[in-house]
Amino acid sequence: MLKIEHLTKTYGEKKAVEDLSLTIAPGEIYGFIGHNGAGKTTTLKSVAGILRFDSGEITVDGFSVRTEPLECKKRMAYIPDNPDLYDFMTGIQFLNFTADIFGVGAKEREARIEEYAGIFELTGDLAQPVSAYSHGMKQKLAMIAAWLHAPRLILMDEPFVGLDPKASHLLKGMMRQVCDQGGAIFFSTHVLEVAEKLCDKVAIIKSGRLVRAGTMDEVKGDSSLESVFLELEG
Amino acid sequence: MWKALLKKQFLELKAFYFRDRRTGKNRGKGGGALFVLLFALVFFSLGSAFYAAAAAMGSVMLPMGLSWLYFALMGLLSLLFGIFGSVFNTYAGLYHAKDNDLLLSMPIPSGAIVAVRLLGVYSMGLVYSAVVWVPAVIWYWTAAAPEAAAIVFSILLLFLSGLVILTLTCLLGWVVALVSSRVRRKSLVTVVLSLLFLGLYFYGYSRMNELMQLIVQNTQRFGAAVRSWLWPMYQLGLAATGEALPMLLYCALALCLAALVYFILTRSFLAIATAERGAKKAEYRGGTLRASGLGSALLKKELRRFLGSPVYLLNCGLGFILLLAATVLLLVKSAAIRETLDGVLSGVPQLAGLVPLSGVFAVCLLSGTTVTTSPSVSLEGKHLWLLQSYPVPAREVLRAKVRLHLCIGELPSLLCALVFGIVLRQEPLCLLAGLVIVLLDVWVMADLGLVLNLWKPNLSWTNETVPVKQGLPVLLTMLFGWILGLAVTAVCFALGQVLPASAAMLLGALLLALLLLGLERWLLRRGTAIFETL
Repeated sequence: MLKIEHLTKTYGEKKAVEDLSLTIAPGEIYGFIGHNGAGKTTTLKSVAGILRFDSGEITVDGFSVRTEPLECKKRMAYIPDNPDLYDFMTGIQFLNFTADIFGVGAKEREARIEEYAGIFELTGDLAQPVSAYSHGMKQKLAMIAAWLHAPRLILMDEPFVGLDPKASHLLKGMMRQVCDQGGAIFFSTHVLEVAEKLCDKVAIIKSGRLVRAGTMDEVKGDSSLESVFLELEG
Repeated sequence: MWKALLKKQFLELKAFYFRDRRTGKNRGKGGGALFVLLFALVFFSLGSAFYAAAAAMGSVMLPMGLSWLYFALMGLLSLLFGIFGSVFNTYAGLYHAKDNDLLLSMPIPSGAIVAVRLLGVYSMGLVYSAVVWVPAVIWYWTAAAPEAAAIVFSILLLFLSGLVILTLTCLLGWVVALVSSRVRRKSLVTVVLSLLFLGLYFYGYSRMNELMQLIVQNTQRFGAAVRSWLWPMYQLGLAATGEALPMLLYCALALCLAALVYFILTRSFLAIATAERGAKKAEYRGGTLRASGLGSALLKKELRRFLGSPVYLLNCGLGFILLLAATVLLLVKSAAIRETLDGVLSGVPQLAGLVPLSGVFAVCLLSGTTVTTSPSVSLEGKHLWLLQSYPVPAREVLRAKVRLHLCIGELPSLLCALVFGIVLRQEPLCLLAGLVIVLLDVWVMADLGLVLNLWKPNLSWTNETVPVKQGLPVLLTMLFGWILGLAVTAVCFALGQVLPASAAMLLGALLLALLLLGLERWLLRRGTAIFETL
């Protein structure tokens, strides 16, 4: 579903990501782990089509992010670590706008908003302006918006930061559901316990280079993910 | 800490004007010089108009020994202009800066935050008042050969009057802040209050000529009135002529007012900046959602942003209000306008060719104050990731911004041009050609604003007044718009010497259409590429 080949991105002299290659198949929850500034967000933004990369190739369902970005974006949803949403809209206006952009039918959007807003207990707040939302509420709204058009691939940057324990639990269930239906999730996290329990595959990035990737067993063996990560970081 | 805060403010300002948003690198000396040159040009154009007003008033008052009255009235005008320039961003600048939370979370006393914010408001008022005061002082220096004390005092008075302007704008801003912290529809309240002020201002401005004539004819009586009722202005007038005691009194007054404002705002800042009281929570109860197409969804988004921000609405949609007001005025005063026109044409029939053009020119000037596209890219700010991550072609995003401008600009412009044409009894073909010119002019303005904002985008502002009110694209669009209106009129007038008026105007429209075509092509090719890589 997602194929990253020899991705390289530099900021001035600094190489943020260097020759990174990854493949994510349908049905997989793929965790992306690395220290601050390792290149996780740069990679996710490059995949999302909001950051031009220097070399390499990224394809989503066979479509190139570089040459056919719109086809890729139709199949994807991206949630940044700190979602700045349109604060001049109310929650429902934002969701309706997102549904319009992705061409989701009226009945479908109503049903999905009802379902996901219900799950995140945000229904009553949808008439509020986004500017009145807390960080967690904005994250929940961004999640609902991301799920609205039933994307095949969901990219998330630190999705669990700021969510309450119940919402985190529900999100994990929703992520698994996407994969069970043939979709895929690619997300970055610092919470290694979550990654260990949730992910089918994991990749560890250090200073822009991929240092280890594979199934959870291949990466951690008999050790814990934390000890492997710390050893690699060492 | 004070140093750090001032440095932050200075860095923000410097980054805004002299740093490239995309590369993060400082602009070259050429870019900075161009910016300074443009500001100087705007200052010079406005200043020339006030210089003429100063000369008209001074040439009557100075021979009568009423130099102080000359300065008192020009001082009053500079205060009003300064308030007009800074009042609309006072509230947002003081209480809605994006780094408010960050600064409030730090161990910084409210007084320090208020002082730094006030410095911004003071600077804005100072610049606007200087546009009136500096030409007035220059005219006086050339006409009256003043003493050294008068020269020094008149320079000092500019900075002291800045403090008086600060007091009055803060007073208005404070009232707005208090009212809006207690109501739900904050934007509406701000817009209504601002429009009320704007209406009063323009009413006063529209009576300025009458007032000037009245002052010139009754100078002595006005002098007595100013002395009795406008004591601070009387002192300012005397001080500007070089009298020391009035200078001290005006100085004490300005400093006391500024200190009072600082004291009051420092006491209330935290309460207002952190207040969320009075807003009743709206609860979503479900309901039918209406699906829209891509273009319509993007246009609605632009419209919501425009209507939801008083700063954006008032500063960039001013043309809408001015055109509607002009249309009403034309309808009300149609008989008087016709009478004046007939009088002029019977005396100078050669001016008949200018009649249809005058309406077009006036409408183009007014519609040139609608500049919604000029800050529209910058206003995406931290939300830009949304549009970039959506499957939306950049050309659709840019088109929605242009369409918003057309929605706001076209209808009142065409209506005003139509009424102008009817009142001026234009031939149908001339009227039609005039409407085509106005239609194209509004469109060109929309494209031009967008081109300029793509050329100089600012996505890292901390307060939306920065891209909306202080942005170079906004300033340039207005300036180019007025130059364009003048150029089209001049071309049509020149062509009208060898062609029938309607044919000349249609040729003028053709030139505008060609310009529009060029801008559209640039936006489609280069503009979309720039937007995608912001």
